[in-house]
Amino acid sequence: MTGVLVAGVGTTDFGKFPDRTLADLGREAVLAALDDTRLPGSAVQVAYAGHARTGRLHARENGVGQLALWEAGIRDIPITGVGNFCASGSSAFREAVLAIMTGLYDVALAVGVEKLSSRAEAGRPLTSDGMELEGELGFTPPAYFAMAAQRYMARTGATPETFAMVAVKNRHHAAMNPHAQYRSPITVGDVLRSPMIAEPLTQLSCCPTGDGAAAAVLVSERAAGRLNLDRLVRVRATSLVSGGYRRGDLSSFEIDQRAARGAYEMAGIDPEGIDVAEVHDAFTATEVIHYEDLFLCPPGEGPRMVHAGETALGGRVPVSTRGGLLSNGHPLGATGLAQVHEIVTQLRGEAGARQVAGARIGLTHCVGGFLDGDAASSAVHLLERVG
Amino acid sequence: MERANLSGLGTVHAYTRVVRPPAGFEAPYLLAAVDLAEGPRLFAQLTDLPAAGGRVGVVPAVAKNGQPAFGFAPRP
Repeated sequence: MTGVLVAGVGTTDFGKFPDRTLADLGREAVLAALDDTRLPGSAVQVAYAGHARTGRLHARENGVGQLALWEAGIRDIPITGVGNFCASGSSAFREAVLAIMTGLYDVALAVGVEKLSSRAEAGRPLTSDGMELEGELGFTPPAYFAMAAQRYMARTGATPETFAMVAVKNRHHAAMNPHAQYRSPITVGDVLRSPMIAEPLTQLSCCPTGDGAAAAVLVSERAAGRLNLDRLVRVRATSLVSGGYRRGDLSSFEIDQRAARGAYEMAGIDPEGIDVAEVHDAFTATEVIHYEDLFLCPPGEGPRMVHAGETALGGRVPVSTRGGLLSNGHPLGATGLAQVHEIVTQLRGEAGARQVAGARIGLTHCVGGFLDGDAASSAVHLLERVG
Repeated sequence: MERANLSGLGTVHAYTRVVRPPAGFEAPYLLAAVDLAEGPRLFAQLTDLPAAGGRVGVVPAVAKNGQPAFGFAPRP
């Protein structure tokens, strides 16, 4: 198998952009990634595009990749859309990794685009594919993760304050990320006093609606040498699993444990080796649950990690340094690639005020979708600084 | 795979009070993850909380846009 390197990344600002289109968001991210790589569009041999709601919201169920790349002047090459719930962007990245790994291609591009602010039911909880019957009975994703939070509080002694501290931390990080949607500081009191969504999750405990796009250019080892590319980051592991539907305790996600184990095994890296992580903090409580499921701490230690500041900048393993989904929103197709953008930026030492000193190995994680009461898809990637 | 009849009885694994509802619903309401005696886990509204460890059973309910559906209520 060929080694895979990330040679360039690009992102748009994240926010609510009523005047922007899928085409121009996608174009901006693709051109930014190419510019970062210092390669012309003609160098790209294959591309994958993550998007999940463009059919329902923009009458474009297919072809967002073709659209974004054509806008960026790229045509003729194979382009495939990748829809995989909240992990659509991560899955597009994985496909690009695999395309290089097989040896079939030397330069691959992954882009994720989503514009959720067009939802007619803006402000209401996002619905989910795979829970249509339950949706008729009052199920919403925030309610599901609120139940997970309830179980987690019962198991570990976490409190609403514990969860609120995650929102405060991620917003603090976002203040140092010029691309983030929300950058003004908030307090634990602000989070607890914001309108209740589903107990114990308040509005500031849930990620906001957001639009955005992000992209990455991946190359093979031999192409990196031939094209004289620098500022490279190595892909050490790609892991994608689907749900086990085993009806476990909602206070942990077995699907994430399997995805994480697969990644650590592929890379031969222990969880203790992770220096910086981007996890799927769609809700404050789930970020804490993810610490455990990704083995960043032993079971039950999530609340201690939060209270000790171990996952804040300056802590043992800073998490969500770009501000997370909580500060950026969660444009489904774009999030996984925005996470890659952040980890690559950190591993290159280019994160400015939010730089994690000496970061060598980073992790990205997205989990989403529902089937039979369980999450349907989880993706974990491990990246390592070169040199 | 075979068809199985469900008793409609189960226990509440987890619940939350939904305050911000999806379109078509009136809040607040309790939403629960109910583990049925036969195995499956269902997500539906709960009329009231059962005593700790107590059973719940299926009851008719009015759901989204006035359509008939089902929920759960405490059972002695």
